[in-house]
Amino acid sequence: MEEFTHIEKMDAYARRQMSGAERQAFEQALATEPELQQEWSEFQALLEGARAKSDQDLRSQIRQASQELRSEGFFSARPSPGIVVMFRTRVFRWSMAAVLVLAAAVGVWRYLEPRTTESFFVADFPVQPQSLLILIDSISSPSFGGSEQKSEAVTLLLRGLEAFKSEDFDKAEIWFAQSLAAAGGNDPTAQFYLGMSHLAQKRFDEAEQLLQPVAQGVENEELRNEAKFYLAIARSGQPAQEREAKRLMQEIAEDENSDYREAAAEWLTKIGG
Amino acid sequence: MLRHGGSQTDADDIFQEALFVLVKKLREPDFEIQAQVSTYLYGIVRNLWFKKMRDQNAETPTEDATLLRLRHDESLDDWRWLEQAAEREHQYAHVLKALEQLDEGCRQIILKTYIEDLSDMEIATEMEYQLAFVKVKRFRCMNKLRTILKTLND
Repeated sequence: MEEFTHIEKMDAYARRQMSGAERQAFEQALATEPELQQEWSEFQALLEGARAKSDQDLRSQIRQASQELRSEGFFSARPSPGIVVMFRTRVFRWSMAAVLVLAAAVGVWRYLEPRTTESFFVADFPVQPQSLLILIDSISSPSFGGSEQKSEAVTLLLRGLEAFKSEDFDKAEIWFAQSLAAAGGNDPTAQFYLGMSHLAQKRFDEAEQLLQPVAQGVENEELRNEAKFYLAIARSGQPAQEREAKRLMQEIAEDENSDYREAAAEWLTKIGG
Repeated sequence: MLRHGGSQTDADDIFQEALFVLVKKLREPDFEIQAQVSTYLYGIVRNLWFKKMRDQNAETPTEDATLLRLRHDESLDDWRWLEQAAEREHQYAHVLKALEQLDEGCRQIILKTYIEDLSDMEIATEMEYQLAFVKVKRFRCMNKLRTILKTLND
């Protein structure tokens, strides 16, 4: 058998089990002793090979778990009554599949503790804000803005709204971002809908960053209240923000001027708050 | 993905690759997941799929807004995990062959020690060995692996 002469030291070094002085001594020896250099180079190659083996095993476990789920019909489409339900079902099913495959493949349950807000978000998130259809109608109107030709920012905004309505959130996000840029970064409606596009894709933290200034700073009360409600939803999707989401929902539920008063009250009832 | 011209097979592949990346990240000692797992996974799927689109769609019209944006998207680190894994697999294919010839007990003790980073005590418990035997067995297995590799290379 080809035995390593310095295996004990190489093992301790690779496992970061040496003290500072031992580590320094090993590194000095490594710099000056060709035999140790040769052995360490071979030892490292074995470790890299082991890493590659571990990756192969992981892929194989994931593939197998996915195949098992597929063979059990987990990914197959089921009839659903409407577009919104289809959207929610698809997101939920893929999320569930991810959780199951991960758990089956690598046993990482400790990372996957169920979160109440997640299930609440999936079940109750209204995909379309109340202003969506009204905005599309009004911007599409030939008399919008009083001028014959709509500005670039408004045209882009309208494209974004239509994409959003079709639940093509990737595209909507691009149109809204371009609309916002064309407006010099100063269009709360484009900013709100850009935030909504992130929210629809469950990128809660990005959504929050965009919605918060609209919820707090714009003059238009309807838009402000709408942003406030979705800001609370964006927070409800982030474990560290659950309490703040609830507080904000309570505030909305008590606000007589908010069109989202009832929705907020319903939200609170469902989470038992 | 399906909306952007991907097939069901593409979706399956990307989904599995995203899970691979997620698990690799979760195993990093300093990595802490800040968002929901499903949110995080969605982000990885998105990055992997966009990277794939960018690499494969040379014929897609350049005015396509998604692709235009992707040219400036720098948040594509997820792809590098897959590239690194593929490179490693290619570069150390000879060690992989040697590992296949090693007995299962040896393979397991090497992986548990150097990849999963388990302590000797944890390995002793999992593999039902005496604590003192773990190190002896590990050294024996590394030497054995080295011998197999040399035989393969000769």
